[in-house]
Amino acid sequence: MAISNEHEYITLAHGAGGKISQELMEQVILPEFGNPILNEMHDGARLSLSGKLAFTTDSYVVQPLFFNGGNIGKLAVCGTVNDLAMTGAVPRYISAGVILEEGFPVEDLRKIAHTMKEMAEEAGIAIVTGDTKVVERGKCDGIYINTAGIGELIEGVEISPKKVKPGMKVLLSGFLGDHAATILAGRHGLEMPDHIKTDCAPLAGLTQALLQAAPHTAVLRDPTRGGVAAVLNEIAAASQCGIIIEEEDIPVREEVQGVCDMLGFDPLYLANEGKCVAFVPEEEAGAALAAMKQSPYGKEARIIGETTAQAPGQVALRTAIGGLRVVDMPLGNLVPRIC
Amino acid sequence: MELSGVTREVSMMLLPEAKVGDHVLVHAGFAMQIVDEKEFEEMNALLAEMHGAPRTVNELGS
Amino acid sequence: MSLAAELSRAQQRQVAGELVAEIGRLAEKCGRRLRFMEVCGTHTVSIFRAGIRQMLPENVELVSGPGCPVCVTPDEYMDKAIAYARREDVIITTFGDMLKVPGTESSLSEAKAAGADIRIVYSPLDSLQVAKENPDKKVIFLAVGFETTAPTAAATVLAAEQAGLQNLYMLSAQKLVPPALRLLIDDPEVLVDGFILPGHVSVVTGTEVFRFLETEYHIPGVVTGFEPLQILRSLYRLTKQVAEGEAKIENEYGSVVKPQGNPTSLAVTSKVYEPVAAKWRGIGEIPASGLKMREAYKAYDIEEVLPLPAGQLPATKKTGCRCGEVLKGIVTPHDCPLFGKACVPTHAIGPCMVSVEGVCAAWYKYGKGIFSYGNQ
Repeated sequence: MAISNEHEYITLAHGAGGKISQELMEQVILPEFGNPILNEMHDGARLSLSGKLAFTTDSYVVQPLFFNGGNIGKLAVCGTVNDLAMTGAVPRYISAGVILEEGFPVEDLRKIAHTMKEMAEEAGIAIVTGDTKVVERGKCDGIYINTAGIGELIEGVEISPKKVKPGMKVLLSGFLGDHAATILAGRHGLEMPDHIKTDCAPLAGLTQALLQAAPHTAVLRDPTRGGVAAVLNEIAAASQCGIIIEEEDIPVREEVQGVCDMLGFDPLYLANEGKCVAFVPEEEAGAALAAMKQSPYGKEARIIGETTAQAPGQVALRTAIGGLRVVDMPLGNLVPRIC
Repeated sequence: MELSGVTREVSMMLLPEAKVGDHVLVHAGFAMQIVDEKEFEEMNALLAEMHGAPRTVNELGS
Repeated sequence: MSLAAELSRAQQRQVAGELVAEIGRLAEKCGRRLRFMEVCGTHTVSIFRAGIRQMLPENVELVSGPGCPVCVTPDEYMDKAIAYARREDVIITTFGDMLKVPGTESSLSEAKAAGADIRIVYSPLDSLQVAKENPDKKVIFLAVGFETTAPTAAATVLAAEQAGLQNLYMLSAQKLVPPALRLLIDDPEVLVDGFILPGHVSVVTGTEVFRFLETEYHIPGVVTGFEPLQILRSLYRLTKQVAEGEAKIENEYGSVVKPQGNPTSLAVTSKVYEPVAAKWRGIGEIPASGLKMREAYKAYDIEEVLPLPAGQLPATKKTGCRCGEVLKGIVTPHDCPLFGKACVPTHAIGPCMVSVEGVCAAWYKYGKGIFSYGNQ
């Protein structure tokens, strides 16, 4: 390993833009992210894109940094890829801005960068520009990452909550709460079986297949912070439709329900990092569901509910015994530093 | 103690009579009572009472 | 395994439908509106989550009583907790739902943000580890709860004694349910036809402590579990009793509630604590309704070891909050002028709104919109 021993940990010099910064770039970052655009090492990336574009950004401050099934880097790439996918775009390029704490182990940075590269490859995107800063010990929690992404909107696809009408079906691509449960279990010292891990995944393949099979899909959203409850409430408010979901149709793993019961959470409000909610006209719902199930990340997809003309702006859940209860917008930050 | 596949340590101080393999009710880190499965009995008894004739949950339409 | 897990969706709905129909038929026979009260925060939430109110006939009304221990904790207790928390030599351990409860001027959450060492625990036992790791600090557990939680705090004291720990303390404000029930029934403004009796309190106390409802007041009570079908079963039993002029204590949670309760828990609590008059927020003082640490254990009672000087606690002030009447089931949260306006979960004035099991919080979260759907 070319970085000399005295540089096993990040120091302020690594962020200063001088020779040591250069070493970090050449020996840790480029070997992982390397691509023709990034390798040019301009101040900015020069890109070729066509048609209408989608643009998004997110910052990642999850604690802990490493968890079962992933790390902050995985979230940083997939999160931005998914935001682009949900606007009906094909993700193409992302930037990565990194803020490191003095004393952060270089080996951890390497692992995170490597994961980011793997996810970028799977998602078919390139990391084309970025930045590294270092702050004094204690001024940040190890590492914070910001990613911004650009994608090309798929022709003919018009996604907007205003297109949601009564009589549409609500689809969900799989189990709820896996990501939050993994993080919470780690924080509270609950032992989980190995198969319980973050669901963090790039969903551009899934959304593209879905849009092909169901071109009149009104809206796609990924239920991250605030969970499915937040997404459904936002769509209900924006479209002025009512939404009713069926409690028994909502897929939650037994172990995740166990963590929720133990810690007092409701899976509807927990963050997911690899799930998609879709509002699809009834006549295309079957095809949409089949398309989701074809994707490796949509095998457990279900139709979980429908939109109605009654009670506009409100989300209700029909319980197992046939009662109805309101699913309200989540209050505040149920689980801090989840992504 | 295991709940839905999740394992956690729990104190038996308040339930010395519990044995390994018992299902227990847990509260604030303590086992509070051994669970004695009576749900079906109680439900069947109630259904019978409601209809004035023996009836069980198994006879419900599915 | 729970009944719900064994029945298909159609079966569950069929049973639920049959129970609701029977409840309606029996309530009709009574010829008036029936009112049942639950006195357990977990029941408050379970009833909302199951969507039961929506299913019940017009003439059966469910109200919530003082079932949330956090909600009935007076301002003074929170003020004391905050005063202790601010001390350099103190670590506070507490259940999570205490953090945002408002005291007179502040909350534990604010104290924590200002640097106080306050740690959320899942069990009071977790405080032992904190005490071991910090021998130079006083570790104070905020012992709030009903009969279910009291034994866990008492057991923690005994464990500390066994381990020879000298820096673990309790700030106690546990409450007992039966005396509160008495006070409610004696109150002429409170009109209740029957009680949905708490599930987990009964696990500890057993069913006999509620016998006085039958013998002294001729009011029915049914010990109830938390699953939707269990709650409907209890409502059926209550309605049937009223329709037939009966008043008995019945147990619909037999899988964990025995007539004698959990004798070990009762013994452990009684070893460390004794009953004392206690102040219930919004209700006032109720005799023999709280727990105080016995003489023999006063070394673990922080108020004995380190009493707070009177000047350190803020003077009480009045707000427009109607928590007291809400807690007695006399008015619904909607009747409080602050509900949903000045008092919302993100900025709560009274504990009823702050606690996850508080009546106002439950109404705010689940009650909004329930009437605009009508019956579907």
